[in-house]
Amino acid sequence: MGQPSAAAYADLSAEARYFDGKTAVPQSVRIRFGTHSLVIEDASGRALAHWPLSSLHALSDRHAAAAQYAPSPEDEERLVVEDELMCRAIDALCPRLRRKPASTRGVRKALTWGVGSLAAVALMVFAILPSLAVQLAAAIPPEREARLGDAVLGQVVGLVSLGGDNPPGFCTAARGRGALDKMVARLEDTVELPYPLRVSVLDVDTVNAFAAPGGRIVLFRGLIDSAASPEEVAGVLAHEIGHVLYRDPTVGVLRAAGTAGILGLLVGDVFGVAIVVAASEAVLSASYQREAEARADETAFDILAEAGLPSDPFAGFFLRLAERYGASQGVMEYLSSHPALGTRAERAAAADDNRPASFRPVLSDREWIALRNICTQSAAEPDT
Amino acid sequence: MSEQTDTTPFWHLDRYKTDQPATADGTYGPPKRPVHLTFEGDTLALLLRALRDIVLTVLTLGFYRFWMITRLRRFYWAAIHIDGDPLEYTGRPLEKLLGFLVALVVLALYLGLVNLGLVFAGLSLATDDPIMVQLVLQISIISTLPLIFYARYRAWQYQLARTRWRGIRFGLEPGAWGYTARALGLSLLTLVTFGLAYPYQQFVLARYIVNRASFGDLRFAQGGSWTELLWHWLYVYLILGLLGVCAWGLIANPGDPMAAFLGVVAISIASTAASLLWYRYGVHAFRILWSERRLGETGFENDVGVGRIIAISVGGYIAVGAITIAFVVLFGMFFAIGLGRAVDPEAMRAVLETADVQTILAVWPLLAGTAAVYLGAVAVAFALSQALIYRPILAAKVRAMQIEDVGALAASRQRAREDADEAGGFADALGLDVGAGI
Repeated sequence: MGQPSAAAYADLSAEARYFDGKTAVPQSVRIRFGTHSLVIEDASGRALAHWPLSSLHALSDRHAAAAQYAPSPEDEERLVVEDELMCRAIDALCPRLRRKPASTRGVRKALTWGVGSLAAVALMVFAILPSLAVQLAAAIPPEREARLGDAVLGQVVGLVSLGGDNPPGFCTAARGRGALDKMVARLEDTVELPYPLRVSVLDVDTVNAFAAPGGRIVLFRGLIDSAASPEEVAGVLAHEIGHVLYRDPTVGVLRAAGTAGILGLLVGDVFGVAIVVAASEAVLSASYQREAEARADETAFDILAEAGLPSDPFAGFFLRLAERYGASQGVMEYLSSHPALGTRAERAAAADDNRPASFRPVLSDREWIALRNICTQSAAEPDT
Repeated sequence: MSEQTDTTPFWHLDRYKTDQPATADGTYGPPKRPVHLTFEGDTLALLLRALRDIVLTVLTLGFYRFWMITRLRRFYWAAIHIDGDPLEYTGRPLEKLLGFLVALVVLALYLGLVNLGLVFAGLSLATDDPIMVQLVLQISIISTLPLIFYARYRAWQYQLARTRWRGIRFGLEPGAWGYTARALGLSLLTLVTFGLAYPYQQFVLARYIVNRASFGDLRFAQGGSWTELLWHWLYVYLILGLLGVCAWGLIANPGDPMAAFLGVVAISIASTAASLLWYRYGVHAFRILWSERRLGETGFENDVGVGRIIAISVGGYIAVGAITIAFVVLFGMFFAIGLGRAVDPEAMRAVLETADVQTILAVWPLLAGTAAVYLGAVAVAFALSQALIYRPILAAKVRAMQIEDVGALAASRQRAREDADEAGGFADALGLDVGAGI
């Protein structure tokens, strides 16, 4: 397609306003086409400027009420044209009118910075913050950490009670308490912990247990109900003691404080994309947790062996849970905060090679019954 | 000189009257010529542009937003005409992307270390008060506050450096740290006075920015006083107080159905009134602040009507809401019919029974369809609010603006180019920058 020649519009001229780029003084001018240029003349017919048509640059959109032009993208002179016919002629004659100034330097710089800044953020999120969190967690005075644990416990109880009317109570039946204390004492003696354990039972159906900062461990009644033997409960307890040993809950709080908001920055404030941020934060925290869970499992096997207890009830417990709730596999294994139950059971069984032929049960039958009935009495506050 | 925007006809003597003093050689300067700004942006063109850009932004997980913001600003800037000549936006998407990347590194370091440090300090030193412990756990919100003020000033600096009129650049002197310090102090003052000092905060901060802004070598200046704002603020303040009393009455009389009913009615009336009055205050503040501004030898005047702005907003929000809901219903039905065949009813029942992750993943076409409808609705709502809310409000505010002596602006000389290096990157990273506007 050939460009029409400027000679075709030799008779065309129009009023316009010209700005010299140095002052804001408007000059009324008349514009017309020369052979290869746009000629800008003042009222007396003196040419103020010749702008080459080949580099002429439009600053406004095609249908703007007043079209604004510059001799080239870098120049500061401006021409404002309201004559529609003239604008169409300029559109037809100027090849680079709406071409954006290309800048490969800008693209390369952006790429370099992009890779660099992503690397810096990744370093921060995956290396610096986690290791700092571990260092700082060890420096928090134990009594402060215990206080933090109480706050976290309060939050969890609040979360659990969202479904029902009354917040769940902590189980306090004296004989059950005695049995629990006996079990805790046998496991606690095997390791050097930063602070004494405070184990309580929460009167909730869910099969769960967790460790909060400051040596606080909470077993849910549902877990004790679904355990077939006291050794199974002891296995879970040993796992939570593993978390306490490495201060995992406190490290988690500190790390979450550090990474909060960083991922949100990456995506920016496009509301539809908030979901992506939430999802990636979940994956991130799951990846930290899987490490911590695996380490707590290893510790649990050591603790059980040290206390002269077998780890296969622990394994059997996982298998039974897996049967009941369906083993999670594939994508979900990655997302799950706990290693897949099946894998976990295999590992527990493997750790049991040096199993004592016979062992002293962790609780007598009578004590086991008492523990299962610990929730016959309950209180609003934990008793430890 | 162009006379087309002068409304006085040429046969009228007023047109040739001068109010300037005679110069030394006995001649008179040109007469003062007040002009109204005009707004020439086409609604349909804006709607199509915004729709295309927001769809690309959502599809690229937000990456296209640097191009979107640039294109929207170019539209809004070019629509504002002063004495017939349009404003010009010269910002570039790539410099925004670069600025964002720089800001990202700084913010990741800052937020990571400061939040971690603050929580650690809080945990090691805080009192036994459980409220304090909770506060420490939520500290990351407070730690971004200074950054938000800093980013706001830098964003102004970038926008002004990339704005031209008649080829002459605008600009804002450096002063982001001073702004941040003042903004933090004044926010504290507003907090301590339960909000009474808010107009003072707003006025002082606006003056800080305006007195550092310039067009070429002509400087802007903010006159007036904050007490003018205070009168309009008092209505909001009183209604908020009333709201507080109602809420207290509701809480203090639990179990009394009559008190509960009256309390809820009073609270809903008062909160509607409060939001309208808050909006009214915003318009008045805009009008008063602009009417007291000067640029070089000339002043500004703004007589934007509160009722008009509120009518535009209420009508606009209703229209945007209605069209978005219609979109969701139409496309939701379309997807439901299409997906009805793709999804196994057994799998659906399993989701309703157990709601665990695996069974939910089995009905992925349903999830994909829901996400598509949701993101589509977000895009439609964004484009519509640009075309039906922001554009008409900006148009009303711009058309109400008057420059007392537009001829005096010709005295401006070009200023040197500023790099404004990080190009509003902090503001973008902190989510302050998507609503394009003035």
